[in-house]
Amino acid sequence: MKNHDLIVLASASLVLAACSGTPQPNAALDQAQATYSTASRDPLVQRAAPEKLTDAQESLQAAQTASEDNSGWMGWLGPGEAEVDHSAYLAQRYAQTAIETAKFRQSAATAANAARIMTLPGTLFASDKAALNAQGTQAAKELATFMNDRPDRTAVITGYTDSTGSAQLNAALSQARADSVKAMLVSDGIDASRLQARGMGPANPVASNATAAGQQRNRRVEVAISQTSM
Amino acid sequence: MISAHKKWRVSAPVALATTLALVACAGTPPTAELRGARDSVARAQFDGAAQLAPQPFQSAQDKLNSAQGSVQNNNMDLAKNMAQEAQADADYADAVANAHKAETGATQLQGLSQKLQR
Repeated sequence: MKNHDLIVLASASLVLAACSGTPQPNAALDQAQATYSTASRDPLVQRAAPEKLTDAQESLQAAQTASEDNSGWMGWLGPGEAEVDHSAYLAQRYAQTAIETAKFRQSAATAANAARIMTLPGTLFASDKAALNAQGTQAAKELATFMNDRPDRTAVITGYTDSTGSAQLNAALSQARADSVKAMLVSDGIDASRLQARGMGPANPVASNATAAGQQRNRRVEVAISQTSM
Repeated sequence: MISAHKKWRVSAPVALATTLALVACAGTPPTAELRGARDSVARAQFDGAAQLAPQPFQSAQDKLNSAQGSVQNNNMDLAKNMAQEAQADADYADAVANAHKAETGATQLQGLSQKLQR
C-alpha cells in the first residue's frame, strides 16, 4: 500500500467515526432515564398512573431521538441541545408525577382501612352517665381535629349498652352518650349537619353479655366515618 | 429606469403567497398548551401546592409567565415549550400536594383509630 492510500483510508475511517458518532452525554436525559426506570419498574406506579408513565416514555423517546439527530456529521441539522433538554425535562416531570400519584393512592387506601369505624369504649364515659370523662373529652377533640381537616367526611355516631338493666333506660343511655359525643364535636367546630347520633341500646353486641368483661366491651359508642370517593 | 421598475414588480398572487408564508413563519400562539398550563397552575394552587410543593409550583408560575412573554416576542416555539414545562411542573406540584395531604390524613387516622380501639 502506498502512502497516500493510507492517508485516504485514515481520512475515510475518521469520517465514518464522525458519522456514526455517539450522541453527546446530556445530564437531564440521564436523570430522566433513571427516574423513568425507577417509576416504570414499580408495580404500584404501574397501577396508579399508567397514562403518566406512557407520557414519560414518549418524552424520553423524543429526547433520545433529538439527541441522536444532534450527533454525527449531520448533527447541525438536528433540533439542538435545548430540544433534548426540553423533552428530557418533561419525561422527568411525568415520571415524578406518576410516582407521587402512586404515593397518594397508597395513603388513601391506608386511610380508608383505618377510618371505617372507631370505637369510644364505655370507660371514656362517667359510669352510667352520658357525659364524657377527661379521657373521653380528649378522644373527642382528636376526632374533631380529624373531621375539621376533612370537611368532606360525615360521621354516624351510635351508642350501645350491655343487655343488663331496663331496655328503656339502655335505649335512653345509648342515645344520650351518642348525643354527648356529637355535642362535643359540634362544640369543637364540626357542623352538626355532618353528624348523626343514634342510640341502639344492647343491639349488635361485640362480646358476650354473660361476663362482666364482655358487658364492658359492649358499652361503647361507635363512630363510623364516611369514606371519601377516591 | 422604467425597465428596472418593471423588473421588481410582483404579481398579486405572488405577493399574497409571500405574505401568507411570512405569517405562517411567525407562527400562531400555542393556545392549547397555554390553556393547559393555566388550568394546571390554577388546580395546583387550589390544592395547596404553593405551600406543600413550593419549588415546582414556583417553577410552573415562572414558566407560564415566560411562555406568555415569548408569545409577546413572537417566539412561538419557545412559548410552546415553556407552556408544556409549566403544565408538567404544575401537575407534579399538584401530585406532591395531594400525596402529602393523603399521607397526613392517613397517619392521623391510623393514630386515632389505634388510640380508640384499645
